[in-house]
Amino acid sequence: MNERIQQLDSVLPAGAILQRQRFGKKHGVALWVEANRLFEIASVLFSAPEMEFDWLENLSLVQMDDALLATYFLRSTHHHDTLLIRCSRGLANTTAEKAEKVQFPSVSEIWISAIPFEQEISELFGIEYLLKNGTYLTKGTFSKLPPNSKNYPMRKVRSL
Amino acid sequence: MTRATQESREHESAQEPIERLQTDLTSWEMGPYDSRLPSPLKVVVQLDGERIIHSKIEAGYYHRGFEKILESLEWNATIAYADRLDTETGIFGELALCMAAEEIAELAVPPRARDIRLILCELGRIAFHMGYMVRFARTVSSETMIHYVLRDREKILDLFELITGARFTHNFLRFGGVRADVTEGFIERVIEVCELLKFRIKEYNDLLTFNHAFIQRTQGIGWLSASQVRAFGVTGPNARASGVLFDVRRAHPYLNYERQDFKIPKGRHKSQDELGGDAYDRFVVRLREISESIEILKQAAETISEGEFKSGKNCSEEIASAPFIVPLGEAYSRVETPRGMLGCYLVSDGSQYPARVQFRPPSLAHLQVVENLLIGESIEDLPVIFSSLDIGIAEVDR
Repeated sequence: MNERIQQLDSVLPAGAILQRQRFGKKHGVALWVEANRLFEIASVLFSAPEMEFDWLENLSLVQMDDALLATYFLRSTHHHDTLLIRCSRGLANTTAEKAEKVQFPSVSEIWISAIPFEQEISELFGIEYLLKNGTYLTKGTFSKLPPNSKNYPMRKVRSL
Repeated sequence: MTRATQESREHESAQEPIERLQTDLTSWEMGPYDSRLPSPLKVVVQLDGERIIHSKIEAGYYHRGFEKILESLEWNATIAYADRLDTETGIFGELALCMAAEEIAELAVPPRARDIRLILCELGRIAFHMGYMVRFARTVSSETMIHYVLRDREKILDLFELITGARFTHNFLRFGGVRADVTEGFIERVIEVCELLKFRIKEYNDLLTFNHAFIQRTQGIGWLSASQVRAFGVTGPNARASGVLFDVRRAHPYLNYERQDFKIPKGRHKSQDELGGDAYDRFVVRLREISESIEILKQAAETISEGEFKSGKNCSEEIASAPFIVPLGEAYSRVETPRGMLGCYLVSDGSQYPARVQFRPPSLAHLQVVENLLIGESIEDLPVIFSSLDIGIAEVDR
């Protein structure tokens, strides 16, 4: 796995990795990337012969103070290595009354297994997942909330 | 005109009206509460005659705000609630949460506690797979099998009651160990049950695996290819039935699985040069997994470690007076549940409540892939396909 991480710089576009950070005690390295370049980087990690991370095992979102942090848990069915990529978006307002939607690029066109996670997160955290053609990922099988629901239940909100 | 040509033309003219017969496409809605489905779930299928040409699935009817509620519970209380991720596989929800918290807190689990956890997990796997057999037998109307399997599953639920005090939702694991040591005679009874089940599996094979009617009803339907397994991230027995031999117990050993000698069963065959598995394969793989779990159980029971069953930092008597707090940090744990890989992403901000608990349940992928599996199948096979995949709606909706 260390060799593969060393190869990342030669495979990914220049300046793609903002930071390498240790994740947990066992899982090794998480790569911080810019949210705007997520799709581009994910495409390379999926298709480059040196990488072949063809399985998005999990996608998790957590609110840290005034930022939403997304973690993508990648795995390869070819060489069985795992890799984490992370990106974040700031929140202008963390009050329930003024909670705004936040945009992340969708990776569902790269990994089809991202759809359930993105549909869930979209509703529960108020995220708009932007597809390559400029439209947004729509509600589907994994949507959970009734159509008339307000606010985003998984956000940590402060009252005014 | 020869006699053969005349007969051929007569045959063609007789076929023509049937081939030309246009049927309107019909749309069927099933659910959200329907005995043919792993309820609550809504399935909308479009039919051309009896053939499914399009399917759409709606979940979310069982959403409880599970992960949000976990954020409002004190650390010790989260274990009992993690059971409810899916009550039938409750012990695995507890385990995934405990493993993630223990990683952040750098809490060592004593070898005896790991052995007890492993025994509970394998008992849970067998009990769950037996529940699966009952659901499958009900779908194919094999009444005898239901009674036989339920009779035997009671023996395992008795063992759970003996050690945890509960038949389901055990609330038995603790951060750093387990709530109590094994009770007197428990290990001997585990070995007895293993011997009984080895004998019973032959009966199950006679009743279903080698049963002509069962084979006719399940073979060749719900074909799940290995490429679909990889694309959708299907795990567990459903993936292994299609020839993808991923098992968390081998890929990322936890508890004491690296010490156990066991095989990973896989499906039987390829079709059209493509690796994959059908509803029958998925049943057979689970039956074989029961055999492997029996072997693991026997090994673990015979070599159970001596010593403490909990780490000194967090014993049950201290819970009321000294709440357990996981220090600042994050971790991701994986366990192999009877349905597949369960992931748990845990974040602690150092307070008495978790900052984020997110579960990656195996049934998410199973529910996503089922829309594709139904296309081209006959409507009568829909309940069999759903039963063979064994989708846990409780863990999908959370």
